[in-house]
Amino acid sequence: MTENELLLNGTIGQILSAVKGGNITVEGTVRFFIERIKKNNLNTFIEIYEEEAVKKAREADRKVAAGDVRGAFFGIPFALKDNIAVKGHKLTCASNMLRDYTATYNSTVYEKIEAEGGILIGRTNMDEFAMGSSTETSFYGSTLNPWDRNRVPGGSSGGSAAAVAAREVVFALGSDTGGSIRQPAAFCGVTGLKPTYGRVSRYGLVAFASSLDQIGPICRSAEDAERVFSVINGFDKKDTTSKEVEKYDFTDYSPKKFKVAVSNDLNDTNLNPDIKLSLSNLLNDIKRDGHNVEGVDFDFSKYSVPVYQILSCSEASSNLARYDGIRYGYRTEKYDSLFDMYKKTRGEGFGEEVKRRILFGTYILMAKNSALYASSFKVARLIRDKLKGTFEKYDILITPTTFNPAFKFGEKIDDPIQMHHSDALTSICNLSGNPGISIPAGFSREGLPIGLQIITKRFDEKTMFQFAKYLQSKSNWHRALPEE
Amino acid sequence: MKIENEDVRKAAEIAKIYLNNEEVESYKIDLEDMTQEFLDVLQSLGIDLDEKFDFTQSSSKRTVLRNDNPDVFEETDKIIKNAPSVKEGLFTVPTILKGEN
Repeated sequence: MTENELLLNGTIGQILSAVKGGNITVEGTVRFFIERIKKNNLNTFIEIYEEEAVKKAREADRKVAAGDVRGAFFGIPFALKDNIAVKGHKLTCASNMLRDYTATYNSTVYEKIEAEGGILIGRTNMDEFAMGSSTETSFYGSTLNPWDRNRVPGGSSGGSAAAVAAREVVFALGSDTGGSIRQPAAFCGVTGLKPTYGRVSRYGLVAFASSLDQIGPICRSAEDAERVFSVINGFDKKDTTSKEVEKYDFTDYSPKKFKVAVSNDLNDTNLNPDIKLSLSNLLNDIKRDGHNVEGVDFDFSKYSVPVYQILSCSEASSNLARYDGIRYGYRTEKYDSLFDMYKKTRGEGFGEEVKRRILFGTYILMAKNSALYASSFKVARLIRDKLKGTFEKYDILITPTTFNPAFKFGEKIDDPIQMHHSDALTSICNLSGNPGISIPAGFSREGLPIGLQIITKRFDEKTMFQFAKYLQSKSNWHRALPEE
Repeated sequence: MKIENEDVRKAAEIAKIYLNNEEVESYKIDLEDMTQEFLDVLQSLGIDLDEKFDFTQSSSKRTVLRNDNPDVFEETDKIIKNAPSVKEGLFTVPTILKGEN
């Protein structure tokens, strides 16, 4: 493998070995990726920390020379979605509201990766406050999909997914409230994980819907995603929703026979025929390998989106009440009174989609609508119970990650209901707390990536990674690169 | 489900978001569509809107609270720097109480 091939398609482990062996320098690696970000011009990053990253790379190279190489990510360039705090750096959530905000403390996930020697090269673009499925709601303009620049990269973690797909970074973190890691991973042909709720600390993640938000990795392969997950998971006393379960460690792939359930969504007439064909072929292949594959008669996607909208918007309306133009963030210039200032600040500082969700959440939480709010929990419980029942019989539940491959810019932005349905197959995991991973599973006739979602029971990321690594051991979709 | 302009204005008032008349009209349609979609789901699943939901069954049995230990935060200047308007180390707001000085 040449140095170029290594940096473009090597695993974290392979790049780490080359750094340790002195075959490549950390500075050269960091500069390689930063040059690609500039050359590609996909608007993946809101800010590149070039000077700081190069300085850290030189320090790392001095450590290599001194034989002092330590850490799972020593010298590995990574990126963070711009809603994950790094002290002293801007944290904007791609919103006009926070365009001048500087984080005053570090997120736990950043501290964990930094402690392992990872080199942060910038903060990536996203939908404003993680509300969207295309990055079109970003205050900083849309990110382009590296497979087709006329199409969206998905969202809300679209910058992170496109940056990994275009090989502008080795890995990136995103956040997933209804599919914001998995949907862009599917649209960009990369691997994206939403861990079990409570597995990864949310400390330092700007809150959207606290009972649904999880941070997770977007990577070149399931193996890399497992490496990153192994570092960032674990109990954190700073996040009261993080679970005191045993820390997850990387496991080598050992072949076994899986019991696989396939959701009825694969038979949905709205499913793109290319996605249906790709996944059907893949399932036949899995059967030929001797795994037990059976269909389950529940259309998870039919019920998830409206419930997800009620719960996430209700929580968002409360979480985003803090942006009042007093302690931080944007403040309107002209106002008559305190309340006038609040209203104009929030009216001008938030974008259209964010306001839509706050208004919907506020409306749902009005006393006269309490039955609507309570009923959303009934449906969420039903979905959770269905999943629980499924995992009493099967190891794995497979669904498509999305109903369609990446859509064109402007295609859905004026139709919020259609846009919200981009989360139909992914938000079930957020409502139930289960982990879900999207891995590349082929290409459409137009050459657009197709994603397969693997769901397992809560806290069983091990089975998920074993199955994902099995699939990636027999395919090369995750190694395909977009044309430049 | 029919939603009135007044419902949207009330939600905007509670959420402290300024909306012009055009925005009220536009958001009203979105809120109607989003609510109706949910009602359709309830109907297709045969879930009764008026049936009570027991929230004690849905949340964690354990209340998770940290000990309330006071701590010193050394970098208040960094917090203050993020504020749009500050005077002598304090956040400034428009006059709230009016009267004789």
